Amino acid sequence: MTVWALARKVAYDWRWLLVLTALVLAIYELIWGKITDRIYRQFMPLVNELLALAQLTPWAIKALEKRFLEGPGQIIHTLLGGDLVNLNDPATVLTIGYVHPFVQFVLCLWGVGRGAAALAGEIDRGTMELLLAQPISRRQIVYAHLLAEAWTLPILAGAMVLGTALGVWGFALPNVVLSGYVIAASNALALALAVGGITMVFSAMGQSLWKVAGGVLLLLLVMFLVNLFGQLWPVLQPYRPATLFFYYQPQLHILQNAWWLSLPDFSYRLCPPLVLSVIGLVGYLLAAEIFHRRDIPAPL
Amino acid sequence: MQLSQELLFVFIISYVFAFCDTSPHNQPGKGQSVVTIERLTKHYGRVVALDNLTLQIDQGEIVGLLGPNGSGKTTALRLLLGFLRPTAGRAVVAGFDCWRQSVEVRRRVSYLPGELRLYENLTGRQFLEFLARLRGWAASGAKEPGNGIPDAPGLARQWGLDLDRPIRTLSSGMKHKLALISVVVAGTPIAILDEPTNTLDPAMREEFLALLRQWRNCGRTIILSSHVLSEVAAVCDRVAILKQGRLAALERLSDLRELRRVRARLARPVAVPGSVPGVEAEENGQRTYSWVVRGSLQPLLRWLAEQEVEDLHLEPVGLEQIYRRIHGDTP
Repeated sequence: MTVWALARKVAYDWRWLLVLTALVLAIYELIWGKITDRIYRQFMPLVNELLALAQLTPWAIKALEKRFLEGPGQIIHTLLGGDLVNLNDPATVLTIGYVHPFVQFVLCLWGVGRGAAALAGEIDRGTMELLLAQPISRRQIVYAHLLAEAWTLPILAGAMVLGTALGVWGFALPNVVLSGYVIAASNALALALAVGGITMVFSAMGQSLWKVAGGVLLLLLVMFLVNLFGQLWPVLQPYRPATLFFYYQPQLHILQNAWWLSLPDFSYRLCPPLVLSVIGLVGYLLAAEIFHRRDIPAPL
Repeated sequence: MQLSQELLFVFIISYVFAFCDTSPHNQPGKGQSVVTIERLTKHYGRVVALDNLTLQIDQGEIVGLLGPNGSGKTTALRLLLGFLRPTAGRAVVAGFDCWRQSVEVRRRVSYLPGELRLYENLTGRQFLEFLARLRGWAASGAKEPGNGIPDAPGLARQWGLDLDRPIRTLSSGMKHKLALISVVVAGTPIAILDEPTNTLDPAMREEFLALLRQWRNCGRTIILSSHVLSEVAAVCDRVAILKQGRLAALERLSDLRELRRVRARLARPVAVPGSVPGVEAEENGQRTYSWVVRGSLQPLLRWLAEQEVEDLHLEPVGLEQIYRRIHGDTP
């Protein structure tokens, strides 16, 4: 009952931010439906027509594409899904809405914000003192936040799928299998959970919301860059599995419509949402143990 | 007639017991030790915040912790609540170890922090309901932890506090009242109050001190820290004065009330008799003499009557003098 009471309050405190974040994600996916429609129905027919008029051979088109994707173009190409995206196929273009850095940023921001505010933020605000004066254990406080995430994260994932479904329906996009997007959204949910779990570990040790949030965001930025450049430079490739973003594979989930994936350049199969969920849960458990053992400083 | 007298007797007895009922908390009997602090020590790196504090507090006692900032008062209270892990020693509240069984301790203790920070986004009512749920009740005021404990809405009305206003719109005094209500309605057998009358107006302060006396009469144990010596002298049974983390003095207020200081200036130096009954301490200057006397002043006054006294002062040895002796003029 104590955990339930605290989880309810956490959900109450975050209700407006939850609604706002869910709306942002849903609208963003809806907008990607519109972008896909424009590319599929207006931009690509024009490009194809121009290529036909120019009478270019397939080899020349490939060389042109290669030239176009050199340098910064290659980074953008990798960021948006690389060779998985075929601009003539709306089903693949729509997947960019799930892998786009903006979506990853919003999911990370949610996880970092929730985790940093949960413990370090309460200590920072001085309300942890009040909370811990009640008969509630420190582990229960961490578990109450995990319980709150069990309500809030499915809402965010649901908002993404809803936005996509509205886009597919509203713009009559062909060849889109929505069940793949449900798996991709669960991967997004698991990413936010993993980020939240890692942040909770730092939050359990810290006492300043902004220091914890800043430190974790910096760590996530490093992970993001290692994962991104690991796809371009072979020297960084072995480090990719050490980053959270390696396990964020919504495009493969959508295109393969499967939970277990075979990843390019890697010999093993894995279920990214499972890996991220385990990381998140281990983070919460570790945070509970750290928080259970530490001193609670007096409010400044 | 006989039967109705018996009924009346039973009614009165049950009313008295109902008002002071603390049975849900399984507390020890009056006079028994509910808080035992043994050689409690806390270091923050090289800083010794609390050093070998040993103290026993009985049920139904109000004990005041006195000392300037940094003397270890708040550290001692936070160790009792299990916020801090002791470096050495231990504290036991109602039979439970304060660090290892802190949840059980906090089930029996309500706490008013010195630095008050509340959930600003909630209303007073939501705040009290939230705390009530954490304590496992349906809602504050609706289900009381023990008979005779005031209900939150009634207390809020009495103290002029609107429970439906968001906490962020309340003044600091009103926030303090709200926190006090949360402590009162918790109805725990032990209360730990860190500077409880901070920001309260004089009338409210008096009302609160009266409430503390009422709690003591009902067998509740109260540990409070304060900078206001008069307040501590008014309500506490005992006072522990801390200096640089160590217990510098532990005085019973009733004993202090029996002590008087007599100062006299004599016409010429005299040899003071070795043992005047009741004299506990004496200081001699040049022709000026000072004695601390417990109980009757007769023997000392009889001796003084035989001397050539130029000036004579007689004053009670209050808490303030004890405190000044330890801390000088530090507030």
